[in-house]
Amino acid sequence: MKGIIFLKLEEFVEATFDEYAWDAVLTEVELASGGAYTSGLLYDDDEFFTIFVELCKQKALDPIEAQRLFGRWIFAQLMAISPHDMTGYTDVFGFLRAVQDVIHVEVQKIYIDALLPTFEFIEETDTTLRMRYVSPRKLHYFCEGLILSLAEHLQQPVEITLTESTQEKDDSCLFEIVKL
Amino acid sequence: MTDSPSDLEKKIAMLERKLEREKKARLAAEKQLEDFSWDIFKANSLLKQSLEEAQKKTEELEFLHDTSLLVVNQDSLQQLLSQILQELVEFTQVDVAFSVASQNGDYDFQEPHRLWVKGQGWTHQQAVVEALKPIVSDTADLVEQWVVTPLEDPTFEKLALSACALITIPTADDSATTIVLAGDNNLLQEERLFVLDTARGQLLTGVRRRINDTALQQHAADLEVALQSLKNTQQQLVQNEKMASLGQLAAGVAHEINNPLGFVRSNLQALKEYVDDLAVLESTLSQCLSSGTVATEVVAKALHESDLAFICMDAPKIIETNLQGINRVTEIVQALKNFSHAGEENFESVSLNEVIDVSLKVVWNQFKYQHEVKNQLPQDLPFVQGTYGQLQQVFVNLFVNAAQAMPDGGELNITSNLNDGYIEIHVTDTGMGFDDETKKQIFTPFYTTKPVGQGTGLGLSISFAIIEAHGGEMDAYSEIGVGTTFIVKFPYNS
Repeated sequence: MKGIIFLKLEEFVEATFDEYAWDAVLTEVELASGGAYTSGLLYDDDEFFTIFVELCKQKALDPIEAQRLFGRWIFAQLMAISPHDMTGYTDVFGFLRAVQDVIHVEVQKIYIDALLPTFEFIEETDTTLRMRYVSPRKLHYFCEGLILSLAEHLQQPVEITLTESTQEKDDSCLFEIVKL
Repeated sequence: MTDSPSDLEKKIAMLERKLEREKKARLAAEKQLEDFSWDIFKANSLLKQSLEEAQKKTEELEFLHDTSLLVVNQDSLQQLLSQILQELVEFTQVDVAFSVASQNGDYDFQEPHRLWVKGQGWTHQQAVVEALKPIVSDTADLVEQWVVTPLEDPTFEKLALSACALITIPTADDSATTIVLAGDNNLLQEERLFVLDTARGQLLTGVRRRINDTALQQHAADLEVALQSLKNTQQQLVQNEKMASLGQLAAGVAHEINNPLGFVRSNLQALKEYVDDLAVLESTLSQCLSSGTVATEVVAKALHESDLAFICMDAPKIIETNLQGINRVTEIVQALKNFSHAGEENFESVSLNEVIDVSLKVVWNQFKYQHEVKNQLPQDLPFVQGTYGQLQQVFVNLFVNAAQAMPDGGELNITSNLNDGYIEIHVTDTGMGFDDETKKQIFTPFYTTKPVGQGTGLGLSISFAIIEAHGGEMDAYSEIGVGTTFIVKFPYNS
């Protein structure tokens, strides 16, 4: 996972709690990087999950809710550093398609080694979008948080239903997004 | 609100740890930056190298493109070799280049020999040629491949030449041209040799094509000569056959001429007697005049004795008959003259009626006693484009054949039929006829059913060739014991 995500998590923890909270988590866990992150470098995914689990433990957070929160928080941050101007998009569904077709492509150009999730669009009507979110990291609720912030940003409220795959070794999760 | 000392200590410890992490992260970032710079440097170097290689490849491609253009154009072999040499000089950037022709392994080195020198163009430097001569001779047996040799002799060190590449290309069975390139060691670069080898393939293709072209042209010229000779022979054969037919006709023709000559002679004999009688009459009348008395009985007796009234009645008839006889002879002689006339005449508008009439006159003797000749052609048959003499030859031949097929007499019918831009002449006899086996061969040269000495076996084959040359066709239908019909078909312009 790219260092930028760790740095954003640090910012999130410090903004939500305080500097001590982040320091406390890092003091408690053993990390190969020692908790020193540089945005452009790659770090083991496990470090992220170790930190995340420890954070939830220390702050008594529901991991699913914590993911959703982090997702909601990071949306504005990612918008600010997007390699592609996303201001022209006014529709949630159109925006999500652009994330898959444009942003992920652009990010991959800059960071050849970045591991990005994939959106597989299954069905779309004016009000409903069914898509599969595929990522070995299984950060489905983080993604849900992002989409909720996006809807807020576009002032187009949505309701999201997640159905995780029950099959073993299936990293995907079905998203049904309905405009309200 | 002021922090308590313990809070401060906690904060300092936390900030120290944070600082430590920040330092570590900065070092990692700097390291990453260095790595990036290094990567960029390496990428740039690779890019430069690729660019140089691409330029080189472009040059190689241009060279191969130019040589392939030279190979496919229409220039002669010598032009091709000299242009290829020029291309090689420009591509390899060698210091020295020249070509030398050889025959049976003997090299034709001119004194001085023309060579390319870098910076000077085409010039003469005999010392360089002399130094390379032995290397050229050593490769006499190695044809159609590049031979690359390092030049280690001190002589070459002085000339600043360290490598030599040469190729010998056969240009004919016993001759070849050797192209020699000499320069520095760059000449020995593997990629360059690879390109030279590709060019070699193209060059050999071009050379072979030109050698084949020359051979083809030679074959074509030989064929042309053979064809001309064949035409001459054919023309000679036609003439020979004509003369042979003429020989066969001669006896009949002699009879044909003898006949009118006979009655002309006897008529002249009668005229001579008439003239004698007239002389006696003239003498009697003269005596009467000189005696001064004209006795009626004497005159009447003289007139009676000289038979003057009969002479006056008969002489004009005799003269008319003689004139007819002489015209007949003249016609026969004219017809024979046309028939025997040789050579390639130009096509002209020919009347088939006239050709057939005259041909019948030529062969009249063969028919007139035991045969009935029915010329049923309408007198307004269309004219055809052709050669009078040749067409006459065809019909004379057909009529003579018909006569010979009916030794005991019979009927010769000549009819015509206009059909679809073609005019057909049917020559039908009531002779012995022939079977299908014979029919297959009647137009074959030298095939004859006639006894030795009577037929050349060429008549119908030559007639066939003549009709074909007139754009027409010839065919025959026959039934044994019933007769034969020959059909001659000509195109005509309605």
